[in-house]
Amino acid sequence: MTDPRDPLGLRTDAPLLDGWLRFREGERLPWTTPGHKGRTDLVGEIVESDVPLYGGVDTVRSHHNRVHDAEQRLATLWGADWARISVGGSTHGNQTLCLAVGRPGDSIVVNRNLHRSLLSGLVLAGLNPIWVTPDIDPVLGLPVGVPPERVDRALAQNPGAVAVFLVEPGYLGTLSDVAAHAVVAHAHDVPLVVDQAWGAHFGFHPDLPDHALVAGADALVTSAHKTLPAYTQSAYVLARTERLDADRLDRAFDTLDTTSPSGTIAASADAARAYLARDGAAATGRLLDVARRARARLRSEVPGLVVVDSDLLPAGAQVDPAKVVLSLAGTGADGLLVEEDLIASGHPVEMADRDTIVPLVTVADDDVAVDRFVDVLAASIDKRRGDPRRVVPSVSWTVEPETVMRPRDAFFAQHEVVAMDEAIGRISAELVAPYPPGIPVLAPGERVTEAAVAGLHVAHTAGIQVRYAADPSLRTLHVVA
Amino acid sequence: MTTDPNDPLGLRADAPLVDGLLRFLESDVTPLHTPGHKTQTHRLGPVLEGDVTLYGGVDTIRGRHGRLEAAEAKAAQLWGGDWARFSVAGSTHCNQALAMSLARPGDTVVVSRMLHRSLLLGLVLAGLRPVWVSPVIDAGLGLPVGVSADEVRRALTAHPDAKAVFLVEPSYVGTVARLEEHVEIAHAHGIPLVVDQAWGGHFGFHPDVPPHALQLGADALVTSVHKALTGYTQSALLVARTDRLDPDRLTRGFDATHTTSPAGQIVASIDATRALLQRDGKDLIGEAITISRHARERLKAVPGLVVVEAGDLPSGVRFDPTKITLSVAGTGADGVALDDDLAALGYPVEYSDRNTMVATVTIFDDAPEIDGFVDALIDAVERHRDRRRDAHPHVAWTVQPETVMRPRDAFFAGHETVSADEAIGRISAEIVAPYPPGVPVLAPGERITAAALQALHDVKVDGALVRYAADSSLRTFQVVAE
Repeated sequence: MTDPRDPLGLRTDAPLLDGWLRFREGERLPWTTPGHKGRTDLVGEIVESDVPLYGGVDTVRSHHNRVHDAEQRLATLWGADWARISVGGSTHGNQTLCLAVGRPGDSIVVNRNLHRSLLSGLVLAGLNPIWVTPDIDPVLGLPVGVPPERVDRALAQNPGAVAVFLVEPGYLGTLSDVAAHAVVAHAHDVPLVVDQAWGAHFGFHPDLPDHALVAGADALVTSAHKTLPAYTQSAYVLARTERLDADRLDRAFDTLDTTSPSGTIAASADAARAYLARDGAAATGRLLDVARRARARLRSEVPGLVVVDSDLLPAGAQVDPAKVVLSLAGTGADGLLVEEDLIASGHPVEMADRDTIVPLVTVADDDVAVDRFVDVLAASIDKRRGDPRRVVPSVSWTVEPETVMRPRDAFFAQHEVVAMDEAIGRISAELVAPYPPGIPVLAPGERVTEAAVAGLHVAHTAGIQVRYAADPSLRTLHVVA
Repeated sequence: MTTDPNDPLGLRADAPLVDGLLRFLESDVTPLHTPGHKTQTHRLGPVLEGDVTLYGGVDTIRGRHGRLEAAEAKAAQLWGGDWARFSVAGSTHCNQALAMSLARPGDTVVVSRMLHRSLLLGLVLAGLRPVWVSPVIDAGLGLPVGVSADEVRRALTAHPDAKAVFLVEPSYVGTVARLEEHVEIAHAHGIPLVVDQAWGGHFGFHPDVPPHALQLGADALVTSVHKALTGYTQSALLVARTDRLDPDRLTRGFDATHTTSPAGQIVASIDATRALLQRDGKDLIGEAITISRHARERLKAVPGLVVVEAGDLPSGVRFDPTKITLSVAGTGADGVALDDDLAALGYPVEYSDRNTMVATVTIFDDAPEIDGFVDALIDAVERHRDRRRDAHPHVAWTVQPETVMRPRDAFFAGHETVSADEAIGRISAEIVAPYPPGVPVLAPGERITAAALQALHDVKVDGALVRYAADSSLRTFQVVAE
């Protein structure tokens, strides 16, 4: 008989899920936080599922045996020596690695395709980025990974660099040859760490890319809530400790970790790990089938729509086969208008800009859901069809940064507010990123170029939200005084 | 009229994030975005129930309805601030956001030594130099009763270049200093005063609880919404006035460490709590005070048990009347043993050490429940009654740190692991804090003293958890390599 509270019977292998369920089964009248005390008759069901990690799922005063046990199981599944469950997202994981790989003033080689959290991590740790840019596919306008030779060159030119930090897969599912990058980094005797936020399912099926640790990387960060069935904000941070120091990793992780973590978030990450451990191959196999079916239908049924797959990319370029990335330029339809149709019909997607749409397909989807989405999308594109356009790569993928000041110094420097036109040639004091994908076009310490400003204006005019800018209208910018 | 179980008090009309969350739950959506569970619970079960993202659930993926901004503006207005943000990463995140926006690397700030570890690590992130001010300890109770205004004045006179004063009020045990005096001193020096008010979310919403920090003139306050108030675990609020603080720097400092995938339930619970507090706060807090007072009256009848009341404290010190703060030394019972008994009976309390116990009464507690707790506590005291002791203050309140290196420099320095004996006289590379209260006894950049190690050892033997030490057995410590 199945228990509706644990339909797959995962609790025997998931100590945090077990703690969560026990807490909910027990009769407790806590004189502790959270202050809502489990009552839902005032603010409502919002707090129904809330259980604290300490004093709920695990005890306050014991040595957190459940947390340690869950983290050990996590490390074992990924083949890591060190693993932590985060309730602060891959943001927290990326910043943990920044604080642990170097010391203030050190240089690290970083993929410019980075998420803003990683850039803020450079600020927190006081690191100097040596940027490496990904190749852009000229036809699709998509980034297709960083060639290992480029990193090799950067390391040769900067012998003091202490680490290589890549983002694999990128936001659009393409990835570099991580194994080759590991060889390069290790030949220069530095660790390779990977923001694998979008690749939590990697390595659990023969048709999926290996995860970064299997490919030889020294650490990976991944979001449990993105491609796995876990609560929003949950993430895993995993490392090997030959080239990284476990003490520094712990210290860095704890620095930014809330002291009141949600037990629900942590337990869901534990449950998702147990699910992967037991049913990972079957679940990701199903996911691959669903994604394959969606891609095949979209290719055959929507003229002009380009469905990204490895056959369209340069030889050797790898792509996440579970990802569905659609290029709309050939249909003439405006991706933002198509997105409005999708939202109106109850099918909100992960990302849309004028030329690109990314619906996120995960292990929780099935053919029925995907078929409905394909029908709605096909109808919308037909309604919005126009003259085919040439793809203009988003400024997020093409920015060529010139770092003239350490990001940390610019972050803390005195700033002044100037008109966007006057900002050209000045040093940016703020971070500006179209979202999604959240990749910074301007970052603290970088010279503001005409190309960056023009690219931001294009994104803004096209209806893309430009986040983190103090003036979201982009009329003014904060520059270093 | 039927009530909506999702919104029993009808708060959504005034709460844009609650409205967004409920709209999402009421709609028939097939999300093609995160979270990966796609709102299905048939595999992992109810642990995923109710999880909705902020972007793509409560609001659209690009936040085009501006629900978060609207909700934050309502909070700013209710607390009398110019600027407010909702955090999904706790007061930890808000304290660190403040540290990042108050000053610049290398600057000096005056900081209460009763600080939470998150703030100490905020000093590491921002590269600030702390000048410590210590709380006054009430000799009779062995409890901290706040940092005195004179102590802040002395610190600012000795360090005229300090860029801000950072206090922690109320303390873990519910005592509050007269903040208006500290504010006056800081402002006379032309610098802002900010307050970690994590435990005082209800302050200022009833005449019998202390005013909140902004009402007393402070420039910013951090509060946990999940502690004294009714938010989801990890929910917190940072509210500021911008005469002395730069809103751009606050925003930058806040965004720097905040996840880009915030949980919609957590932010919506802040919005719901704000709407509830605004509408019914006074009545609800009034009930909590009544319940707490009733419990305190009953507990006062227990021989040897000291029940803290405002009147027992030095003049001018305020006390949070919703707290049940007990000094158990006079009963001879061990506070940790009492805590174990209470937890086994389903009454876990917020804090206990050998001599002290603190129970949190919030606006969601009921009178009958508190009697069950009081009965259980009285029984436990009688079971563990022993020869009376003096109430020695906890080391977390009395530590006298000697900071010999900027915390940031020690945090990043090469370290080595040495035995406890060898660690004496060396510079700590790590934080070591008994938890709760999470106040560091050793911190990066501080000289390790024999007294501190002995106190940590005693706390551990007393049954408290000592956290963040790389070696939790306390046999070895990580020190800055020489």
